[in-house]
Amino acid sequence: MKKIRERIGGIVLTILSLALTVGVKTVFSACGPKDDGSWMNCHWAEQAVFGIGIALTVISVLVLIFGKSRTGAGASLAAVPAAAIAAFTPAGLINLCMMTNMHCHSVTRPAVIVLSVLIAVTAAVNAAVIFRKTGRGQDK
Amino acid sequence: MKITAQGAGKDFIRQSAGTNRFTAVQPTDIEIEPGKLTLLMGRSGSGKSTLLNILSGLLPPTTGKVLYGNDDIYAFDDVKLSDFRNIHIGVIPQGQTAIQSLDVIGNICLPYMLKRDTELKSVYPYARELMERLGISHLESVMPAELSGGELRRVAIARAMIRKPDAIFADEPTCDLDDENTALVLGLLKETAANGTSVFVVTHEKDALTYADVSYRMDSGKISSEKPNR
Amino acid sequence: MKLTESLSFRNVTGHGARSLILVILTALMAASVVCGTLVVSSLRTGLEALEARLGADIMVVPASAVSKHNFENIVLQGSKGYFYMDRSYYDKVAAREGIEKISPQLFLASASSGCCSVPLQIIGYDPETDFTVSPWIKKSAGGELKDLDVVVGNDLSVFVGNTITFYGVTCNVAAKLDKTGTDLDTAVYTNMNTIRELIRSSVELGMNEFGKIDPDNSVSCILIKVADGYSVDEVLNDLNLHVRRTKSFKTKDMISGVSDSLIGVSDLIGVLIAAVWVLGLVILFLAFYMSVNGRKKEFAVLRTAGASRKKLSGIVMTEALMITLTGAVSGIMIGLLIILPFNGLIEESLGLPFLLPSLPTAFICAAFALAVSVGAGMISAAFSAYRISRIDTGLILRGDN
Repeated sequence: MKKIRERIGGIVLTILSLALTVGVKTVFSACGPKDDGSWMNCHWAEQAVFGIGIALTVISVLVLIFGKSRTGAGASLAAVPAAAIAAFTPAGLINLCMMTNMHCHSVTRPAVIVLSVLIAVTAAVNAAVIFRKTGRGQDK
Repeated sequence: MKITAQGAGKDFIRQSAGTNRFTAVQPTDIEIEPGKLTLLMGRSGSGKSTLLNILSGLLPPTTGKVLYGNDDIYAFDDVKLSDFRNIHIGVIPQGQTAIQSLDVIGNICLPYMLKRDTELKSVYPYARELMERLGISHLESVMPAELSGGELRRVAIARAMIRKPDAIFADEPTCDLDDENTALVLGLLKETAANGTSVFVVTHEKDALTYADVSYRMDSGKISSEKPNR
Repeated sequence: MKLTESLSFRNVTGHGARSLILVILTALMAASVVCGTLVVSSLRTGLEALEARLGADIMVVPASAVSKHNFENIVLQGSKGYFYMDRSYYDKVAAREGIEKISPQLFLASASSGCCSVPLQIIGYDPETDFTVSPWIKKSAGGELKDLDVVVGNDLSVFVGNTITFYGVTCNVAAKLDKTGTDLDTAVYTNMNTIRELIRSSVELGMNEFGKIDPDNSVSCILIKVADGYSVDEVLNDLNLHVRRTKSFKTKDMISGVSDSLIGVSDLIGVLIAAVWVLGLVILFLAFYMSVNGRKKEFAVLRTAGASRKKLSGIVMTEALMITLTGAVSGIMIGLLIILPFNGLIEESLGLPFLLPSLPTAFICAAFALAVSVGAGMISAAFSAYRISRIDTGLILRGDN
C-alpha cells in the first residue's frame, strides 16, 4: 500500500499519457480521410499528438521507475512543457478542419486539451511534492 | 485547588422501567485537598465512577453542588465548564480511550488541540517527558490501533497530565497494567499530588491503598472513611 | 494554528478510504448538478437564439418538400438538403394580403468541397428584401454583398477576407454570423446571383439530383413577416387555401417541436439528477451517522478533555464540510471539464440547438452546484452532529467495562 502511495504520481501520469497516445488514434481520433482518400489537416494534428504522446508515455514510465528521487522529479518536470505542446497542437499549432462542428473540433480537440492539461498539472504537482519532500539541496 | 462536594448525589431513571428511579450516589459531602492523593475504593456498581464523573464536571448531580475553590462549577454554562475542565481538570477515564485518527503524541496533546490556544509543537517537550516517565517514549508516532491495552492506558494518563491541571481524576487507572507498571503509574500520580495537585483515584485494587493520603469506601452509593493503610 | 493540526482534518485523513468514497460521492452529486444545469440552460439559450434568429412568422415551402422527413430541420436548423419550386409561386404569395415583408431563399448543399469532407448547406438569399439573415451578421468587411461574396456561419473556421471554394467556384468571405448552436452555424449564405452560379456549376459537374431545375426561376423557401392588423393564422390560412402546391407553416409551430424535445431532455436530466441525489443523500446521511455512532466513545473522551457540546457538533460539521467541499469542488471541475470543452459533441448528439450560456451564467451554475452540494452534505451531517452534542459522557465512559 505504501509503495503504491509513493508511486501514485508516476502511475497517474502513465495512465494519462497512455490514454492520450492510444486515445488520439482510437476513441477521439481526428476526422477520417475524404472520399478521394486524401487526408484533411486535422489528421496531421492527430499524428503530431500521437508522437508527443509516445514521448510523454516514455517520460511517465521514467517517473514511475525513479519514483520519489530527484531524477523522478526531473522527469516529471520534463513532462510539463511536452504536455503543453500536446495541448497547443490542436489549439493553434496545427489547423483543424474548417467546420467547427466536425469530429476533430468537437471531440479530438477538447479531449487532447483536457488530457494534456491534466498531465501537465499532475506532473507539476508530482515534481513539487518530491522537491518539497527531498529538499532542493540534497538527494535522498 | 480544593474541591468540595456539598450534598452531591445522583438519581438515575432506569430507562426500561420509565419512572423507576434509583440512587447511584447518595448525597455526599467530600473534600479533595490539593497535595494529596485521595482514594475511593469499592466494588463495581457501587457508584464510585458516578461520583468521579460528578466531581470532575462531567455529570451534573441531581442534588447538591461541587465547588472548585469557591466556584460552583455546575453553575457554569457548558462552554465555560468545558473550558474549565480543559484547563483545570485532567480525567483518566475507564477503558480504552484513544482517538483512533491521532498518533500517540497527538492523543497526549489532545487538550491543546481542542483549545487551540498554544502551538502544538511547543508542548511536545513536556509530552515527551511524560512519555519517558510512563515508558512509552518509543511509541511517539505509533497509531492507537497498534498499541496494547496497557500502553493505551498510559497514553490516557499522559493526556490527563499534559496541561498540568489542578485536579486529576483517575477511574481504575491501573486495571490493565502489570504490577511493575501499576507501581509506576500510582507512583507518578502520587508524585503529582505531592507537587500540589488534587488527585482523586477510583479503584478496586487494595494495593493502591499504600499510595493514598486519604481514602474512602463506597458501598451502594454511600461513602465512608477508611483508614489509610500505612 | 495550522489546518493540519485540527482534529477534524486528522479524523478525515485518518479514515482515508471512507473519506475518499464520500468525496467521490459528493463529487458525483455536484457534477450532476453542474452538468445538468449547464446543459438545460444551454438548450434554453439555444432555443431562444433560434426563436430570435428566425424572425419570420410564416415559411412557405413546396408541397413536395413536406414528404422530406427532415424538411423542418432544413428550414429551421440548416440541416443539409434542398427542394425547389417555381419562382411564380413567390409572386403569387407576395400578391396575397397581410404580408409586410417577404423574402425568398434558395438552397444548395455542397458536395465535399475544397475544405471539408462533410457537405454544408449553402443558402441563397436576397439582400434587398432579407429580414432574417442580415440582422445576425457579427463581423463584416462592410459594404454590400457583391456577387461571389459569402456570409458564413459561426462554426466555419474561416475569417472575413478569406476565400472558400464550392463546385470549383471561389468565393470571398465577406461576413460572419453570430452563433446559434444549430447547423445554421455551418451554413453559408450568398446572394441570389452567386447561388445560381453555384447551382449551375453543380449541375454541370453532375452533382445535383435536381438536374433539370432552372436556378433563375426557382426558390426553395419563402419567408414572410405578417403586417400589423393581420393575425398570423389569418394569413397562414389564406396562403394554404389560395396558393396551391405549396405548404405554409407557422414558424412558432415548427419551433414547438424543438421546444418539446427540449422539455423532454430537461425532464430526463431532472430525473437523472434526482436519482443521483436521492441515493447520494441517503448514503451521506448513513455514512455520517455510522461514522459518528462508531466513535461515540471518542467523543466522550473529547468531552473529558474539555470539548464543549458545541465543539463536538462543530467537529462533526467541520469533518462534513471538509469532505463535501473537497468533493463538490472537484466534482464541479470535472463537470466543467466535460461540458465546456465537449459542447460541440453534446450539440451533435442531442440534435437540438445548444448554445453555451455566457460566462457569468456558467459561473452561477457552478456556484449553485457548490452551494447545494455542500449544503446537502451539511444537512446530512446535522442530525449526527446534533445527536453527538447530546451525548451522555458518563454513561458512555462506563459502558465498556
